[in-house]
Amino acid sequence: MPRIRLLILLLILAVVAIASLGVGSASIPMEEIFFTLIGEEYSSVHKMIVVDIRLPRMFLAILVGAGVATSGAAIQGLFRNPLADPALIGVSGGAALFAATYLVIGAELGIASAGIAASAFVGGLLATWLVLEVGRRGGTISSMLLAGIAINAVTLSGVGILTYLSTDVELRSVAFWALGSLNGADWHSVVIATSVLPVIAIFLIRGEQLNAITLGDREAGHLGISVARLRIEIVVLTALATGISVALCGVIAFVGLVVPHLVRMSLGSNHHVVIPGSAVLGGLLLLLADSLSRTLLSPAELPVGIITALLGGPFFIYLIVRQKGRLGL
Amino acid sequence: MSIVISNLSYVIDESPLLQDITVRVQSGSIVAVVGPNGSGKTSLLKVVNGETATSGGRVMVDDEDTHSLSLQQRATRFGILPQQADLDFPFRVVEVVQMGRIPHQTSMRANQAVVDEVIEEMRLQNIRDRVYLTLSGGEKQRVQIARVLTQIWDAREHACLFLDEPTAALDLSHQLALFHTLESIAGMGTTIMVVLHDVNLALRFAHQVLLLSKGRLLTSGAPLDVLTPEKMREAFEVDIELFPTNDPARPFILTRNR
Repeated sequence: MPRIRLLILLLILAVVAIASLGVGSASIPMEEIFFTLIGEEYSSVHKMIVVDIRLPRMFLAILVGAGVATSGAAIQGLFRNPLADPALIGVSGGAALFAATYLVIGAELGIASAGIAASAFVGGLLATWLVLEVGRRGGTISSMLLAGIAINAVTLSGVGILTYLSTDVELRSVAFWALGSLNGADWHSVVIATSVLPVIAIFLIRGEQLNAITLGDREAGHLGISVARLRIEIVVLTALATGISVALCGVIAFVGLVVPHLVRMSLGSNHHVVIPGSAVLGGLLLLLADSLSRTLLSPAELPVGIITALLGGPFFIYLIVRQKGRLGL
Repeated sequence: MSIVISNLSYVIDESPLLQDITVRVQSGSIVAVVGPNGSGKTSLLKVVNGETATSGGRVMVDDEDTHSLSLQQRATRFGILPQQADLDFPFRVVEVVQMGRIPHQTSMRANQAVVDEVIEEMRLQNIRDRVYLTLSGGEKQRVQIARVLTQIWDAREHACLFLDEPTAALDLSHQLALFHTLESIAGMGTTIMVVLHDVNLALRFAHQVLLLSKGRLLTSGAPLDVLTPEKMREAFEVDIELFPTNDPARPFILTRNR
């Protein structure tokens, strides 16, 4: 059954993906998109909008949504914590701070922009390590979540300071880092974003081990799994996917929290299903959110993170209320 | 598997949780570990199954040092049920039981056969597709036991089970059913170490009883030789009385008012 639902979800994603090419400040009819995609030319302006702007943006939304959602799923399983989300526990904040710092220094030194993703990865990794360390000392789930809030606050004000120090136009936009946007999508960023695919593949391969670890660290050990190694692996991969996403689109909150929950509710908890389900639904959700973000106030654009936070915030509260007493808060 | 424990001690933060324990357990026996709270029952299980390192002495399982076994080797030979399991994700019952097959390289078909057998043995057929989170405490316990049995089911001739208070949440009928299952598994060669608070269960089903007190092995042997009024008073500081039943070899233990 879950397999059929996954296929249906994939089909919906394909339909929405094609439909998303038509919406935006310039609305383009479906048949024109179809003919443009198979190579026939209607209007050169519309062709340029579809091929150079909306098509890469569509792919970027799907890849980033998939990467962020599967990272959320993996890290929730790893910590047996339904509230873990890379954006909530400060991983994205750390990535944003390092990416922004790199931009400032890079602008002075003239370094290639390809390093943004790499520094975002390092920032995400450091933030995760910090959260884990505080969580270990605090000893409870709540101390980890609170540490995440603190790191989020610090890193985002760090980004704020940098934006005032910098003259770089790209960096000037605090909103980009804090709220997330797919505005800068081009084919170059799509190529970088494809590196979330191997990350998702490894999450999937580790599905059985992620299943086992939901039983508890000890229990997973009794099933022959080296928990310490798995933890390092998942944390590094999560930081990688988050770092890439942040470098390309800023912090997109709540997708990593909401999507895995929706998938578990409808498809069950088996990570062999949760991971691909989160990838597809994450891509779908971000694509929908992005389409909304560019039509709601058209021709102006809302940062996509505003839409995801509007959807995700209430859901987060619902989770807290529903799970009361079981989170150790 | 036979288990030989010699001069075993386990010290944590300078407080000795286990001291100088030496005992031999025969292959295919049910061994009840009995003792007051904090007497070291759980620690003993952890050190014997190799999860925790010893501070002294050693444990040989079929002539192999339990602490030299790899994670993978332990996972295919030992089934371990901790005192309590927290599973907060909405898995279905059958999925939880299937996790017991994770250490094995056997085919999907073979795994499914084992899972089906164990589900029937643990009488879980009617809740097989329920979501684990919606189960009662006793049902959850039975699912966790089934998961552990699934792990060693096709290796019952040379396996060990370590069960920490498996009957804590079970009703009378399921307690009995569990011990009948354990008896049949032990009959095939599995050695079972089980922490019990119910001394009557120990008396009725165990082949050997280890009585622990303050980290030391007070005594070990056949149930009727260990669960005597004198030794129980020494370990628990309570007075007990043995009442005869239809089976002279299986009296009933009651605590006496002071």
